[in-house]
Amino acid sequence: MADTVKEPVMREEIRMKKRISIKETINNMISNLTEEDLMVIQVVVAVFIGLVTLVLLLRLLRSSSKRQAVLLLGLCESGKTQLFSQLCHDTDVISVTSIKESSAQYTVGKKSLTVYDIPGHERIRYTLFDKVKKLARGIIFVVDSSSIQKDVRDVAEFLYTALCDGVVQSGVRRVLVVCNKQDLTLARAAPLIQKTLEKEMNLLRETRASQLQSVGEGGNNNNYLGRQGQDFEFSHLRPIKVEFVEAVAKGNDKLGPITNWLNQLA
Amino acid sequence: MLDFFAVITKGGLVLWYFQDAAQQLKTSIDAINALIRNVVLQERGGENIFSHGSLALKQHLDNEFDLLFVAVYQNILQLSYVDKFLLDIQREFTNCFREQLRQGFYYESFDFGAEYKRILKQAESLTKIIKAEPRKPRTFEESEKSKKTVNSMIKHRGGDQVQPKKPSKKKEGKSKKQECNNNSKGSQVEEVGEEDDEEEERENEDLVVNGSAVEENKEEDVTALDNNDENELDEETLRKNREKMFGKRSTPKAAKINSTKSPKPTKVKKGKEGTVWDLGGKDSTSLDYSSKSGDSTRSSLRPDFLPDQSQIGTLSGNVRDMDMTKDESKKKASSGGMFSMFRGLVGGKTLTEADVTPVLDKLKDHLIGKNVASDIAGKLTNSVGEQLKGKVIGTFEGVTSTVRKTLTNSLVKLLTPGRRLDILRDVMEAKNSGRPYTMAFCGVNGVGKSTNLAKITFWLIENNLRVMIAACDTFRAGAVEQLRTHTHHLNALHPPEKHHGNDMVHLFEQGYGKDAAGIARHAIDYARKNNYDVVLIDTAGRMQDNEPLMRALAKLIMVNEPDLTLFVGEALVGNEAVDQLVKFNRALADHSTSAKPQKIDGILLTKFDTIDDKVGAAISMTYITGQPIVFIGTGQTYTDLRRLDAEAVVNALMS
Repeated sequence: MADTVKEPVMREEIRMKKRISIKETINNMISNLTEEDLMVIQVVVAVFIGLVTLVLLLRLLRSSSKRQAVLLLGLCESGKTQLFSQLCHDTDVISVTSIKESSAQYTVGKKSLTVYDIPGHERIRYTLFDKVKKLARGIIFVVDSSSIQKDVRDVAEFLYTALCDGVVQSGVRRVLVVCNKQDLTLARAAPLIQKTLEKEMNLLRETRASQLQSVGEGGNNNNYLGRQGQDFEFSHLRPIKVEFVEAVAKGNDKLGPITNWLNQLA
Repeated sequence: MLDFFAVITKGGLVLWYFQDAAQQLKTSIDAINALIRNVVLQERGGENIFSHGSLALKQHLDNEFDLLFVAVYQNILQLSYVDKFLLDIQREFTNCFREQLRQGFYYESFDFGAEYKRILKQAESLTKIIKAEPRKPRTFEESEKSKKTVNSMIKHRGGDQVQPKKPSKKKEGKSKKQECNNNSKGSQVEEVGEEDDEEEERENEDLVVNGSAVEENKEEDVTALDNNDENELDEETLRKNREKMFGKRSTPKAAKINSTKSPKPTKVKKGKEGTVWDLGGKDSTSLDYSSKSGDSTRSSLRPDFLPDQSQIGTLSGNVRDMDMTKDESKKKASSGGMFSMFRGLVGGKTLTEADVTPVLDKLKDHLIGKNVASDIAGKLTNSVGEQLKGKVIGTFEGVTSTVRKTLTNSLVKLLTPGRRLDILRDVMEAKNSGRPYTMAFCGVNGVGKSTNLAKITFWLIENNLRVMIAACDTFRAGAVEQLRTHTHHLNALHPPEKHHGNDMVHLFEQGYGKDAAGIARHAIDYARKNNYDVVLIDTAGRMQDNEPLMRALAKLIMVNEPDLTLFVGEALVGNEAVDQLVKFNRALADHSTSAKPQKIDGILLTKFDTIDDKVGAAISMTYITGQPIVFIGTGQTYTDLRRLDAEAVVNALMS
């Protein structure tokens, strides 16, 4: 009995001794340290914390600056919201003119892309486009195939502005021009639309270069697309790859080329 | 009664809609698209009703979940319950589907039909009840008389009460005149004559009353006298009116015959009456204007001055210092909210009207200080207020910064052109169709039409386009010479030798005093025959109120159908811009005979270098017309022509 009582007491004593010894050693160490050593330790700790934060920040920044988005651009009434609903939610919707951008995730296996539907109205399209263009990895430009002959100048102007943009030229590698509304009788085929747009952009780059200076300090932001001296072709825009496909946004059948392109992009 | 009702997200999805059987879905969607384009995107959200063809649309924004509630009904119906109905529906819808909306699950089905019908029935029954109530006459408390003090109703020499009668009597006379005109045109002159005589008589009677009811201080006497006189007068006028009416009713034709037969005798009044002189009554008492009571102090007292007994004794002693009440209130606000500051930083706060209104008022004053027209500034701030009501602002955002940001976005949206602006491309297009591109310049006097026309000519010839200037200002002395001087200068800068022997600028003029529309038409024909690419039409400056000149301008625009009608306005103009543009647009629309009249297509803002950052005129002009600013003139040399940069201008405006 006395042994069992003694043992815990002994254990306690041993523990206390250990504790004391640790304390003693630390105290010894501290007393041995000079002031300079203390300062060095403080500096080392501070630098370590700073490095850790830097690394974390860089990680965060890089993940946000990573381009994970696809932008849906186009004129009013070209079918962007319909296409958006079909791609991301597999449903048809009744839609009116959008006032605000909408976004959704498009998943391909493990990877996912954020799809942004930018309203096409002339007053808000550029401000909203500027907000999200730095996240764009690819652009889907939707064109109404039935009214292309009437709207070719407006379409070309928007497409030209989008392609000229500095952020787009540095980050976006693939552009898909979707010739929508192919179910209508007056719809033109994709190669014809491509030719029409090329002719228009040819004229456009001349007029854009001769625009007046703006009243603010911002200089003329009109780059010259394509090659000088030759007629404009979309193949001149390397490294940006521009493709033309046909589609019908309503109903779920003709969206194959678009989904292929998205899968390739992801 | 509502043809169509829809709940729409700002991203363009129709979440739920109710369609009346007779209405086509496509027409409703078209109407809603037109509503969005004209109202929401042009910042006219404060205005109540939008009409599109035969339909009227009312909208309501829900800023918490970014929804738009739209009600569509026939324009001819005037439904009074729609505003409240929209609010009720908004509340009900957001309550039912709160979770779905918050998480953005817009693609699920929204079953709202039953509640919608219930609320609609409620609203319609409520209006029926209100309509069914007979209109009760006002109680004494509601009438205006109860709001007047007794002393203000005291006659001052009998003039006050009698005067208001005069206009009413004259109105009676006039209405009778109109009746006479309707009934019998032949006897118009005679009737008029009668009317005038009658009015004279009545005036004389009034003066009789005037004279006999002078005493100011004996209030009871005065009011009693006047009451009697009123009654007397009423009886007399009643008698006369009755005579007239029965006279007309019994023998309308006889009256006609009588009057046509003998015009002269009817001018003489019925019987002879003694003339009544200006000074009215012959009594000496009626001519006595002295105060009756003999108390001179009371007579000098103004009848509407009520001595405030409580003021006596308050200002005894030294004059007190100023009360700095403003600072006190400020201190209170900050002290009570030491932690409210932090509360504003953390957590989502819902904006209410009370939060937003003071900031908006300050911003409105700021805009007005920057030369935005005052009612435009008011409308803009109202529209921004509508966009902010109920909005949830995130963490680290203050109310002021959110309101400023919204207002900045709205201003940029307003200044961004609503259509593609590429004159050179359009000129090329016109060239391909074999006709010249025509631009007309209109505006009030002295804004810089001819100067900026010369600048635009210079820009066009720099881009290898041949320009013809049509001198349609045939009124102002020296206008044609001014344009001729510009033509010489520009041709010297771009001589024909450098351009394959074609002269780049040509002036088409036919001197002074001719018809401007004709000159313009001939100019365009000449340009087409001689392969000129652009025709610029310079018109005379005219004030917006000058009807014949506005008609002449409308005729010029209608006959020649220019591709671009530019309104030239100077940046220095303030509230006048609103008036000018509204009247110019209206004149162009009214005096045109075509179904779709051509209005102002663009704005040229001149003298921009004279304003430093008071660029508000740009906002006023674009708000009113909805058209973009095509060019900006910044000086008097040929190179002082610029294009609008919306962001830069808005920065200058909001700084």
